[in-house]
Amino acid sequence: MKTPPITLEQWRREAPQQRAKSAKVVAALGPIRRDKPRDPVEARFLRSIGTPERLIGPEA
Amino acid sequence: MERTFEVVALVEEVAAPLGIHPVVVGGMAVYFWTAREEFVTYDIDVVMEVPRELDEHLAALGFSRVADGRHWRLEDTDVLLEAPGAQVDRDAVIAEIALPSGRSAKVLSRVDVLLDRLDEFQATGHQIVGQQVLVLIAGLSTDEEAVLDARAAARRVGVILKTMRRLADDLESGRAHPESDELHEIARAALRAEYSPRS
Repeated sequence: MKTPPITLEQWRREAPQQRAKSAKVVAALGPIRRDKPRDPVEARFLRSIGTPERLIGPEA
Repeated sequence: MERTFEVVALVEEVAAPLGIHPVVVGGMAVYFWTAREEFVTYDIDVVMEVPRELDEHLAALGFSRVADGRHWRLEDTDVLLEAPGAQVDRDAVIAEIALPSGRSAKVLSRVDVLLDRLDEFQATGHQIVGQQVLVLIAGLSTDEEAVLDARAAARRVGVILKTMRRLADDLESGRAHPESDELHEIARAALRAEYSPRS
């Protein structure tokens, strides 16, 4: 199935509305902390660029 | 995000003549459809096969393949590309992103990202995946809801979809966030319902 292309300008324009749709759910989720094991290559890379540990999660 | 999709578009340029079209999946696709930074990390998951010829093209672009064989690092940058699988689902819908450079990149549709996340959540019960499911559900349009309903049963994620929709509604109405144990139990119950022999 083909869908019309989305421009980045369009994405940026619609992003606030998109965030608003999930605002209540996100607020109710509490702290976001990855519990899914992370590939060691990715974990090393993400640490090297300063990603917070809570988003890197445990190493596989 | 623009830079991420420009990188994928560059890969598309060298891969397309080989009949290969990388599709962004994973966390970056979740970010694209939710505009939520709470989950995003800047590694790039793409679905594409990488035959030797494409590997050579990637090397010419400056990518070096990591020893595990499925990651490529763009040298002297903070770009890491992972190609975890060769093909998206046969029924998957792919969206195209037109970039300011004039190039374009492909991303798995919101409905397909959600179907994949539902499948993964049902199989693993991981809290982070369940949370992404809830946020993706909250952002669906009416048209996407209808497509999702039509496809969920075939993917055997109809039960988990129904449960997570209810949970998303409850969260919007003010219930407390589900703990990890509750999410694991939701996933296990849905898995049993989908895969138990019918009487």
